This record gives sequence, C-alpha cells and structure tokens, in this order.
Amino acid sequence: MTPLVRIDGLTVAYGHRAPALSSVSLDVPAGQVTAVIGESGSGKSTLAHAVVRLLPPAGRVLAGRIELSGEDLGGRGDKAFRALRGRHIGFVPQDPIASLNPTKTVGAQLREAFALAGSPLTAALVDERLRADLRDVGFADPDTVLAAYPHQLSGGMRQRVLVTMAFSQRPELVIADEPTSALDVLVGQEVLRAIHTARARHDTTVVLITHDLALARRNADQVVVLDRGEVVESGPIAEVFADPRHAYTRSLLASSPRIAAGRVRSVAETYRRRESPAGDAGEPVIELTGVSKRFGTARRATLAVDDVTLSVPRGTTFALVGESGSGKTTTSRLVLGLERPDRGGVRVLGLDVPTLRRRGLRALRRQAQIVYQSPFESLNPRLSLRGIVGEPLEAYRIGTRAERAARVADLLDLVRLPRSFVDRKPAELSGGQRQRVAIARALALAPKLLVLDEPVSALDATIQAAVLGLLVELQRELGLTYFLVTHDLAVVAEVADRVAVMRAGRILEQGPVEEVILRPGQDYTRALLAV
Amino acid sequence: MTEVVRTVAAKLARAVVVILAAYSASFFLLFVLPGDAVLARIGTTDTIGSADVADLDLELLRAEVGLSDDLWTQYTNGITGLLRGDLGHSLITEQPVTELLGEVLPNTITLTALSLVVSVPLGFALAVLAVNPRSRALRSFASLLPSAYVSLPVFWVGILFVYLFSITLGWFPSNGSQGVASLVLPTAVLSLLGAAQFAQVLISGLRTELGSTYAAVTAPAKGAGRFHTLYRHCLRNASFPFLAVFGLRIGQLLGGAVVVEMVFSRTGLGRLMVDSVKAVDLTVVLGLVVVLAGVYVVVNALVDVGYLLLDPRLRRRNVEVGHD
Repeated sequence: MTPLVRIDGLTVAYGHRAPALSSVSLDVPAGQVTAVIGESGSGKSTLAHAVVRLLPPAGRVLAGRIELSGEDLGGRGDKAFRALRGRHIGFVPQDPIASLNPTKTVGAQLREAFALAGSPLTAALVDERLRADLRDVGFADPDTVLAAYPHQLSGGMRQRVLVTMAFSQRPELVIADEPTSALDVLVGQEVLRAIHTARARHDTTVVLITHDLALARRNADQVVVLDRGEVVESGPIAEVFADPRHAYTRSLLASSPRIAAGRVRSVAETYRRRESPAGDAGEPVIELTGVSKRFGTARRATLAVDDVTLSVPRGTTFALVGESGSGKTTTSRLVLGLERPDRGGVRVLGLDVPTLRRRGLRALRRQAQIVYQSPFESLNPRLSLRGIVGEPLEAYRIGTRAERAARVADLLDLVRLPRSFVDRKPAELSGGQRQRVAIARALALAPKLLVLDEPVSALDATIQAAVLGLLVELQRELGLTYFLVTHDLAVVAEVADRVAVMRAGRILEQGPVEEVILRPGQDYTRALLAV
Repeated sequence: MTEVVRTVAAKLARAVVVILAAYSASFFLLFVLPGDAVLARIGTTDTIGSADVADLDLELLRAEVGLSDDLWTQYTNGITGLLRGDLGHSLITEQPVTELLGEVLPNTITLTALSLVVSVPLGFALAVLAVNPRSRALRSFASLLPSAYVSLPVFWVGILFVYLFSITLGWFPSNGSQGVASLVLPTAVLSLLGAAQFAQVLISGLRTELGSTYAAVTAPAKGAGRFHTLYRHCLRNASFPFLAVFGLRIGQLLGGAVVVEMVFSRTGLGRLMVDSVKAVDLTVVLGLVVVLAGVYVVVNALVDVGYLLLDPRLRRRNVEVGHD
C-alpha cells in the first residue's frame, strides 16, 4: 500500500542555528493514526508545521521532499499550496485558547472554512453539516455553540471546535499538534474521542504529535520517535513499545511509569521494603485542618481551596497531585504563609501560620523553603552561583564572608555540582544543573521543610530522573520533609510516601502512594494514571 | 435597564468632575501668570511701558471687570457662572465668551472633523501597507513613514505646503477661512499628522495580531491567504489599542489644529486661544478650556462605546454555554 504522506530527507533550520530536523524520512500509511513522539526540542512540532508549510518566519526547509498521495508538494507555489490547506490537509493547533479569533463567533469561524475552500454548499446546508459535525464531537446543543464567542467556551470545547474545523472539509490528512497538552486530562480524553469519532466517520489519516507516550499508545497505530531532529525509531506501535531498539526510546519508556505499569508496582515494592519512616515521631511538620480559601469578589468568588485536611509526618514526602487550577499551588502558598486561609487551621513546624506577623514569618521561612518549577526564571541571570546560593545566608546575616563561601562550596557538593561552578552564571548551566542550584539555595539555611512546586516538570524525562534521585538522597541524608506539588504521577511514584489527589479545590482521595496508584478509588485518579 | 441608567449617570458625573477640575486648574494657573487683562488692554503686558500707564487708574479699570475681587470670590463667581452655562464676557472686547466661541468653533470643528475623516482610513491604509506586502523593503519603508512624519514640526510642514502648493504651483490659497479651497491645505497637513499617529499604533497592533496563533496558524490552515487573514481577522482586533489611544490623540490633533490655523491665518479656536492667552483674557481662556475638556469627555465616551461595539468579550450578556 502506498503511504498517504511520504517524507524523505527533510531538513529544517531556524535562522543560522543547527537544523531542528535533519534528514527526516518517514511514511504515514493511509487510514491510520501515526504518532510522532519526542521530548521538547526533538523537532516534532517543526515537522508538523513543515508539512502544512506554516513554519514560523525564521524556519527554512533546507532539503528533502514531502509527498502527499504521490505528489511532490515542493512543486507547488504558495498559492497552489494554499489550495491544499483545509481541503486536503486539516490542522489542529496546540493551544485552543489562542487559536480562535476572540472577536468572531464560533459559527463565523467554522463557516469561513467552507467559504475559503470554495464549498458549493448553500448557507443552510453548511449550517446543517456543522450542526451534525458538532454533535459528533460531543456538543449536545450545536446552535448555542455556533452563536457563541470563543471566550464563552471552555478550553476543551474550543479544542473540539478546532477539531470540527480541521475535519470540516473532509481532508485526507489531519495533523494534530499536541492537541491535548494544554488541557485537563479528562478534557483531553474528550478531545481525543472527538478526533477518533471524526476520523472513523470520514476515514481520515491522522498524524498525532505528542510528548505523551501513554496517549500515543492508546491512540495510534504507528509511531515515529524523534530525538534531537532525527528519527531514531519507527514502526507499528505495539512492536516499538514492546521491543524498543533504540536507547532513547528505551529511556523514554523507562521514565514513564504510566507506560511501564509493572514498574509502578516495583516502585511500590521498594516502598514496602524501605524501613517505614519515623512517621509518628512527635507533631506532624504540616497540619492543615478544614482549610478553605476563596479568591475574587464577594459576588464572583471561586473556591480555590475547599475544606482541605491533611497532615505530613516528619521526614516523609507528601505529594499533592492535581492539574492547573486544582488549587494545589494555593495550598502550598497557604503552607508557606504566603496566603491566609479564610477558614481552617494551618500549623507548620509547630507554628500557627495564619497568626504569624513579619518576624514570625521570617522565622518560618528560615525553616521552610521552596523550590520553584522553572529553573530558568527562578534564578537571577546576573548573579553567579556564589551570589545565588549565598543570598539566603546574607539575607539572614549568617556567618562571615569566609564562612559563607565555605557553606556555598559545601552546598554545591551536596547537590553534586563541581565547586568550580561557583563563578558561573545561570545561562552557562543546563536546565537540570540550574534546578540543582535552586535546590542548593533552598538548602542554604538548613531548613526542615522543602516545598517542591513542580520541581522537575520543566525538565526532560531523562534529566527528571536524576534530579528526583538527588532529592531522595538529600532527604535521607538531611532528614528533610518534602511537600511536593505536581501534576505528574510519574514523579509521585518516584519519590512520595503519601499522596493526595486534588481537583477543583477539593481532595478527592489520599493515602499511601502504593495504595492510591495501584488501587485508585476515583475515576479522576484513574484518568491521571491512564494505565 | 437600571444598569444602563447607572452607567450613564456615572459617566455624566465623571464628565462634570473632569470639566470642573480642568476649569479650576486653569483658573489658578492663569492667576500666577504675570500681567493681567487690564494691562494687556492698554497695550502692554510687561513692565516696559509702565511709565505710560502711570497716570491711569488701573485699580478702577480692574474693578470694572471684576479683577480686584479677591481670588476666592473670582473663582466662585466663575464656577457658578459655569454651572449656569454663562461663561462671562471677554475682558478685552467685552463680547460674551459664548458668542466668541460660537464664531470660531464651526471653523475648527470643520477642519478637525474633515481631517479625522481623511486620516482614519489613510492611517489604516498605511498600516496595512506596512505589514501586508511580500516585499520586505516596501514594508520597512511604509512602517518608517509615520514615524518620520510625526517627527516633523507641524508649522514647518504647513509652511512647506504653502510654499509648494500656493506660492510655487498656485493650486490653493495659502490663507483665509473662506470657501472650500481654503480648507484643502490645512486639512492635508492635519490629516497627514493624524494618519501618521494612527498608523504607528495600528502597525504595532497588527504585528501582534498577525503573530498570534489564530492568525498565524488557524486561519492559514483553513486555506486563508495573507490578505484575507489580515483583513477579516486581524484588523478589528488590532484596532483595540488604536481605540485606546484615539481619545488621547484627539488632543494632539486639536493642538495640531491650533498650529495649522495660525500658519494658514484661519479664524478658529487656535487663533482665539493664542490671542486670548497673550492678552491674559482670563474668561475667554477659561471658556476655551471648558470647551476642550468637553471635547475630551465626549470623545472618550465615544471610545468606550466603540469598545463595546467591537469587542464581544466586554458585552454584558454572557451566555454560559454548558460546561464540560
């Protein structure tokens, strides 16, 4: 069978930098779903945009050919290529919020696709078909959707509108570029269902760009693995995942516990073998009782945190899992005294946090430090590591200059960075190294509690494992207590003792990590696990 | 309905406050200026000719026009007059201020309105020219023009136009307020200024919109060409920042109108303003301030309405479309 799309030796570069794609060749079989997977920077989005010739302005195709149904698309001028878009190739963009024009109704934007494709259908027939298509992707009331402006729809609804748009001209090929990465897991599943329904109904070939291996495994027939702009492996998905030949594919699979379900079990095993932490040694480090926090005006308040009760014993790791908007970050801010609760008690390290004033909060912050998500933004780019790591010591006027220098050197040792790095600036470090610096800074005051706010989610899977390993070792060496905030159950399985799953401000379930991961009691947790 | 009443009431209240504040600020600022209308009327506003006025009873003359009252009485008299719609009489010509304004306003309004009518479409055209063409050189040139033009002094451009089109080519009269022909050159100078200012804002707005995903990916993915995307999707969204500065730019346009009126010797607000400030004609200047503050208030109210018309996100009726 001839493939619908054949890409041969495609090389793309931005400006004068090293190619984002180098000599990529792959086939997309007709009528199937082909997943293109890889980490950020692997070139998978560049590939998607190159096929529809919508590369960002600096992007240039340097070599290679792209064929659609046997035709070399390089032979088409811009105008002739435009005739392909919409009619023969549909595209579902990544970010549903920015991808619709905010000042036009959804209906107008959908109808526009028909006008641009020169559809012979009358206005009434166009609307009839749109209503049917919208019902297919799960809208019960298509007329309201057609009359709505994008801001009146949720992210998931907007993405389903964009799916409808991509399929509206019945193209042979639809390319979906990370269609769910900006969405809540459950909502993302609805969007994928929408793509599947449309695809099955119109017998469309789909290229699914994703970094999510579980999503690829559940949704694709074929897989192409990209690493740093090169295809390292491709084939039927079951074969590739069962017997990964390339080291990169293996490391990708290994770092995703959602894929290696067996590995979650082995992690749970190690917990059982690990001596049970000194859980009941005195007062818990963190104790929240019936805590609520609302934001906004009296009339339009949102309950960010709704009656949350939890407790974290000394020397253990408590993971708060949820997606953006679930209230997990607000909870961590309550713990650090950065927000005051509307109701309920917050006790941290024996201090009654809501009643603390400036001096009390200063004392709390000496013992409770935070590591932020983005190692790129949380470090002052103008300071050397000496300044960054030593800053808390200066702020608390600890030691002489020489003592502080010695302490900074010790801290670099502690996070496994060479002492010679002390004069480097953040720009000279990799993402993983920067996060080690952030950890060293957090440890400078010898705190008892670390709040880890998505500590590895900005890092690639292979580097994540190293940083998490460091955190586990540090906990053992220093007897630290961790309060971990994350959306990623892979991270939880790696390091946590107890886990609480949070959604819309409420804790859905909590318990020992092996119990929650192996026997999730909630649909939502199962969706997060997706095993 | 009550919502509308409340909004309108709030807007009116704010308008009154703005006008009163402008009036008060100008009143006290003018008071600290050296010289007064009595001196000006005699023919001097400084001390050079003070010997000649020595034998005149200045105090008597000042009392006649109410300048010898204390500051507070003058101020309250002015405010109460303003609230009754009476702007007083010119200290120089003794004509009612409203009458003076009535004589010059139509001229200035015609000039400014005409310039607006020309400059808004011209500004849009220039902005489109600066982002749409395939040729990079043409785009850079078109985006350079507005900045170049706004950096030229208005009076200089005015004189240049007079020299070129009246003196050398003899196409249009160089001065006067009579007839349509006399309007051409002032309108040209002023609308080019407006167009350049509007184009500056629009160009940056269009660049932002063209770079956003709905214009850079979604629309072309449907098969839309560059001009279609620009015209059907971006133009409206790019005009929000344009609207925001429109209210402010109106002030600059009026300032330009003042200069243009002087250069082309037209009767109008500009002349009246320059003459009465020179003469320290307190009542006339304050009358002008009230008119200008009123223009600002009206224009900004229109801008608010424009926002409501253009941006669906600001409209109240927020139908919640189900929930996931």
